[in-house]
Amino acid sequence: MQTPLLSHDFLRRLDRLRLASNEPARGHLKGLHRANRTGPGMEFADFRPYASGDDLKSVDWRAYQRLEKLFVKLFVEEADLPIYIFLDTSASMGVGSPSKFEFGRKTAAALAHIGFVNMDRVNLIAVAEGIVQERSGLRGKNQSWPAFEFLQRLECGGKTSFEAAFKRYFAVPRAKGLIVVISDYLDPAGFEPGLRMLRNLRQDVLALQVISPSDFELAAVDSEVVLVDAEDAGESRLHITAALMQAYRQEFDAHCAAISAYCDKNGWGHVRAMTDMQIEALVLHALRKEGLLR
Amino acid sequence: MKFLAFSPLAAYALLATVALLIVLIYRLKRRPLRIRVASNLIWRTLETNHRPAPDRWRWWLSLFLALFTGLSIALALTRPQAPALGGFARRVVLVLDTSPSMAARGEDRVSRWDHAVERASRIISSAGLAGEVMVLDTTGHAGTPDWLSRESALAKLRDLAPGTAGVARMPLVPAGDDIEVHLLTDGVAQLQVAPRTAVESVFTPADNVAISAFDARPSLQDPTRYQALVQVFNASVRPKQIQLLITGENGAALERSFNLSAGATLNQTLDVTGFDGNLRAEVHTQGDGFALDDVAYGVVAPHRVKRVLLVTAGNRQLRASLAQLPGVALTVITPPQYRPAPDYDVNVFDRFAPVELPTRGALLFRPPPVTWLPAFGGVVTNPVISRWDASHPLAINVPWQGVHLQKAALAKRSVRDTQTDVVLALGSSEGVLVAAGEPASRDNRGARWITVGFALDDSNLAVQSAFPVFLGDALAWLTDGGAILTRGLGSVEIPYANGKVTGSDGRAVAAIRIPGATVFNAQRPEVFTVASNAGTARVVANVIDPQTSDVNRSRFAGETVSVAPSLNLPRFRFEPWVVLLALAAALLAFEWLAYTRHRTV
Repeated sequence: MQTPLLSHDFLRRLDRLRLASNEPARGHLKGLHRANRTGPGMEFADFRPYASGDDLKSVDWRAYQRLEKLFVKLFVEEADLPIYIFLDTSASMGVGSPSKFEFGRKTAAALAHIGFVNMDRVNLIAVAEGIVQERSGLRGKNQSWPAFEFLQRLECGGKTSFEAAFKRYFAVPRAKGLIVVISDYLDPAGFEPGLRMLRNLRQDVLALQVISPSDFELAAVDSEVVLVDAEDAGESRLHITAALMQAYRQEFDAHCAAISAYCDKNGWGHVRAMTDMQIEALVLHALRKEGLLR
Repeated sequence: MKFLAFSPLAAYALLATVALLIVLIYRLKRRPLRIRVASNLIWRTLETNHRPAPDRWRWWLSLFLALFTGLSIALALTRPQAPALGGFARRVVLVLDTSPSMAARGEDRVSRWDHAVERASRIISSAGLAGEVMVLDTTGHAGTPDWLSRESALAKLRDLAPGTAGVARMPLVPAGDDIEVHLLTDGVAQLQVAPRTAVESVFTPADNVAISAFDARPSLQDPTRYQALVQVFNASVRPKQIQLLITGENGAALERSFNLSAGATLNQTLDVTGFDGNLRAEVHTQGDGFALDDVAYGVVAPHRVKRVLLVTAGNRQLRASLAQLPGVALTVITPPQYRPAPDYDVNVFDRFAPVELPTRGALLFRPPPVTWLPAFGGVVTNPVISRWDASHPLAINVPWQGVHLQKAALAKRSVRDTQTDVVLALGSSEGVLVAAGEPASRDNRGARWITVGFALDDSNLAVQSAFPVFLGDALAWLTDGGAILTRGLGSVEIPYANGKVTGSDGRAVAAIRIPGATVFNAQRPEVFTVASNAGTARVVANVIDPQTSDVNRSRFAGETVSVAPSLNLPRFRFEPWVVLLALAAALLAFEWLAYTRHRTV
């Protein structure tokens, strides 16, 4: 029997949260997010003159008594939010202990559960060089366990190519929603081509960068090493020195800062998560602090 | 390439072994640690930005450094000879002519010796850093021949100087195919040069005016007057105006000026009666390039009349000979008339001897046996003179080999230090023919005696031309006016045992005492005084050798010598092994910085 991805206690605490999006919900089903259209809802939006065929229950009779004209009350429609959770399953995510993939899988499970609780339409997509697996259109609380099962079946491997994956996934029309990208962003082609595509699609993006301590720290200082790339098995023969490690850390920090700057520039959310931190701390504190969860 | 510490085969084997070991060690280096990382994306960016040295290149560089270091150390052990680092080592024998003429200076005022030293220095410098040099000279002043390093050879060269006397001879030089022999000479000395010897001329024409002869003697006509004979020799290649100056110890001086053509000599007889003691003659001329022979010394002895008492029964020949001696006032008496008296400087006894030793000097011909004379050894007929002491003042000027005897009384050989057996003759056995005696104490200066074992009419001595000289020498020795000996420069041997030598300025001169004689070294013209129990002698040391003064009589005359350029020492002043070790140390330091300190990444 597999170990559950998330504990019951943690799931209960997630029930009170919902994902925040900068864009109005574009779902077609009833949900808990404000849509940018009027319709059935609880929140008053406007009046308009009665027209033939309008439901008489929406006529404002008090206005008729004062003005002797029929007006219909309009309400902000509450729709569901399409959530696309892209989980990087490339080989680079399998590095570290605990692995970035394991951490990313739990994060994806937590976010998916929040979406289910809020009646959002959750799409789980495992990506590497392309679409590895996907589970689309999940909605409702009862979908958590199938989603968790889907995530637990995933295995990491292959190379990273966001551009190829997004191009493939968005080749068919998709409703606008919230795109969550859980990855280490170590795309050999760079992170920008993939994210640029999401920007062109005018999607709201939450970039969640998973970092393992082994990404910026090597135990073998003052020795010659062969660094083997987990994805393409490419080798780099280097003599690791303290100075070189320092330069590497600076370069890695610059890489992370570039991702953060790119997201900020596009008004996207960005969170950097270390694999040695608790998943609860990430979801309940870090994401809430950033305003990505409410 | 040549190696000094290893045979070529062993050296190459060592180098190959070291290289092989280093390569093997490098091949045995552990493989680098393989680390799986999420991505090489950042590392590759870093490689691009920081341009780290490719590891393979670093490996080859490290191997090269290790090979270079190891081979440098190994090569240093073999002590190689590299032309680029100071030339090949050669074995060079340098023979420097140290005859006096090498001190002559040419018109450039640089002596032939200086030219020779400079040339020798260049030869030594070009012998290679590991070269071996043997420095020899022609007068034996260079000491024990030995192979020296370049520095030691240069130091030995600096210690050498031209001699002032002695005969120059080509020294024995080691033979060998790898040995170069260089002779640096001015060609004045006649040297027997070996066939494979490279002769380099340092001859430069030099002006030289010399005193080639100088002596002071009493006048033959009037012994109370003294004369100095001076011979001046112009050894220059051009006429010279010469100034001759003679000074006495009492301040008297004489000066003459004259012109002398090239190669000519001038004899001058000068009256030096008014002079006393040491006499110094010196010549001056413009541009003189050889100072050694510009000065000569003589001695003006006390020249008062000697009072001589002849005790004879009527030996007219002896009487006449004594009477003809210059500076002698002769008194003749018969033996019965003889009474000991201090009124005479010398007593001459013919076939007579007083019972007591006279208080003044005594010369006895065929004396009867008395106690104070050597023990009587018997009368022999037709004795043959077997040998004589040529260094004794009494024997110096007499050709004893030409003296024939009919009959003589020979004395027994001396067993006393105070007696000298001057002439020995063979009868039935060898006995003393002429003996000279000293008093036990020098306080009694007149108590010297000379006994001659034959009568003048029993020999042909009286008809010898040297007989008056013998008488004069005998009177001089007996009156102890002090012998005046003339010698050349260099080693001087005086027949005075345990003599103490002083210079003309009173300084002590180092002397070697050998049995019966004293030897010292006269470096320059001077009057030395040798004092011993046997007497006091003044030794006049002069060059007085026309061959020494003739400094232009060279077989290289007519050739010119170019002034040697300044020394062209090799750029590297160390042997290659030192350079190699320094290089190895530098490479080790570089390797440490580059790899241990990781400065290459």
